[in-house]
Amino acid sequence: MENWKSSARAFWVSMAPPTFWLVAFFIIPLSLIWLYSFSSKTGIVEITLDWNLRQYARALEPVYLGIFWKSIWMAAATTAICVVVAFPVAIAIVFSKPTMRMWLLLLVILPFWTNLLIRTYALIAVLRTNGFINNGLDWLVTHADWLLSFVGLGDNMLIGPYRPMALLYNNTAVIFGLVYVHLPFMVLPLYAALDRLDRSYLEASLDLGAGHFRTFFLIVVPLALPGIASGVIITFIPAMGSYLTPDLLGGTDSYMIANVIASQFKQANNWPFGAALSFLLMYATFFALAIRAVLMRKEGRGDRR
Amino acid sequence: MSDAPIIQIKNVSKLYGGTVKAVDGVDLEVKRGEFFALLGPSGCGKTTLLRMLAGFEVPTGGQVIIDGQDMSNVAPNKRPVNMVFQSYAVFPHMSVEQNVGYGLKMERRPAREIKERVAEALDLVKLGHLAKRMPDEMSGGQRQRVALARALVKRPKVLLLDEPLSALDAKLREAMQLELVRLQKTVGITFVIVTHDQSEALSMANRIAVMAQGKVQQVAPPAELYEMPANRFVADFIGKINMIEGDAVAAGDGAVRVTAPPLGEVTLSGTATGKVALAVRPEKIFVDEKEPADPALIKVKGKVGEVAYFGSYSNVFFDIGLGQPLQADISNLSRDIEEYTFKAGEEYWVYWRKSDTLVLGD
Repeated sequence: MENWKSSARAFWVSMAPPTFWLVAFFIIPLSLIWLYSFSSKTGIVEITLDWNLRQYARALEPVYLGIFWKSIWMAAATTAICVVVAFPVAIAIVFSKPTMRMWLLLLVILPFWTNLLIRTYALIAVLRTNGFINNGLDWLVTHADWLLSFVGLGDNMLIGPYRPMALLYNNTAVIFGLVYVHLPFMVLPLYAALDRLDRSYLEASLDLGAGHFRTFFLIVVPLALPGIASGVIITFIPAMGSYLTPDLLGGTDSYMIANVIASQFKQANNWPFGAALSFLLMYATFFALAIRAVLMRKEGRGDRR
Repeated sequence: MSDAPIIQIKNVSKLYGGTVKAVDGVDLEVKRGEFFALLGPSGCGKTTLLRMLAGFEVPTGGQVIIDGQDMSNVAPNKRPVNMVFQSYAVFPHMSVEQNVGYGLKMERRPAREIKERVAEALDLVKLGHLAKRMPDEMSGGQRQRVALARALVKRPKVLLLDEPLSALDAKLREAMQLELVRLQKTVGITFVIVTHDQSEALSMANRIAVMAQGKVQQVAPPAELYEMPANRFVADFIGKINMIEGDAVAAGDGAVRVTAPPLGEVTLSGTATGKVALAVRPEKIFVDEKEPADPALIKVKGKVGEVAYFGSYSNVFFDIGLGQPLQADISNLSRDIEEYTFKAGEEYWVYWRKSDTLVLGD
């Protein structure tokens, strides 16, 4: 077969569109933002590039560092909950019958077919004061009280009246929403890693006297580590840059870094400062990827065969 | 107690999907300290049977008893058996030492005892110098020794081996066969090996169970299996054999009279009647230019067809007027090339002893 690289024309014809796309819509805008981050705001719409570091200095003030820290913390909590929830799900899918497996995977992927905004509003309907959870619990309590009235313990003597819980507009709601949105990103790489895992390793562990619990922690988790690392990264990075979820589900103190960036570009009309914050977020992301690369290289030594 | 069989398999069956019988009413006993082989073609149920001993498969019916204890409700990790897997299943994220020590760690043995027993087990399989290696730095043969040491270090009552040599090249396989026999004698543990390779089973095992279609066809020591196969399947599966179809009627005194067209009528000891096969192994066949006179022989005229020369013997196919040729292994007993050269088309008397002839029913 002819090597497509040896034919210069074929090479350029096939490479030009993606190259153009990347340059026009990725590299140029990103460079502009990068330049903004070293600029000063000199009028309502005027921005002057004067290569100053004031925006970065301001971004490192305690207020903003606090929000950065909060974003990292919320994303980390989201990722941790996702690992704990996704592992049993992935194991259940791997060990289900092949016909069943397809349907279960479809159920995991299904939320992707719906717009994030709509899914988030659906969550609001579930969590709000008059939402499904509060109303459902209210119904349960009211009816339990009604049943107790037959034995003379009604009229809220033992239980009730039900007071709705504040499930929405706080950090818990944001983390709940982030877990809901990002769970498929954790399930799929874990599923892929567990599916590749040779079953005889598990059988050998059982055969040598380990129970299911120790087999899981001593054999399954270490061998699924590359999959866990992938899942953690592709959950953590988008979770940290979340905008919509904290905006709709969060309270006044649930601001994450993306909300601050958005408000700088919109309400505050301070593009240079927003640009500096954006780049700090990107550097943080690169840092996370670098850690993963180091971990994977370490892992790679044991994985080669 | 010590005379009781270490493994009793009582009427064990395994159904898949409610209908497919992988194992069909198997009864077997394995004696203490025996090297026992489960032999059969792929899909005969031998691996399923072994996995039921290990506890990875639950029998649909019947009972498995190991060392007098019913295993029906005993989980794999609580059974007094250990397994060497076909893929070895050596944990890739642990060193050799950690792999071998894994089972003892699960028993929560003291660190010093683990260290001593791991070293001992590694010496037993001649891997003492590689204790710190990772599995991906080892050859297939070495990884198999790790799997062996890892199972033996637990001092199981029975060691189960699932096609342990199938992934090795021919030369290593032969060396490993001898090694396994030596190992079994050294440790004195009962070995149960699953294999589809008849020469492997014949050369290693004390007794062999031949399986086909989920059923045990015959259980016997190697020589008995070879010389006295119970039926056509076993005769055909173990070694090479010629079969000549015929009809048999009882002739009294444990003898049958068989009519088989090219041979005429012969009376042989046997019990099978009706449609039978007269079976004779190729190495028990002789050839001569002159007609032999001995009445204790079965003889037929044959024309030389294909000849395959193997050095120590030649494999000669004679056309005796049947659909398939008669195969004879002629040992090259002297350096006289002329005497042991067979040319296609030459006619010989082909003969063998009546006592070497088997009458096999279905």
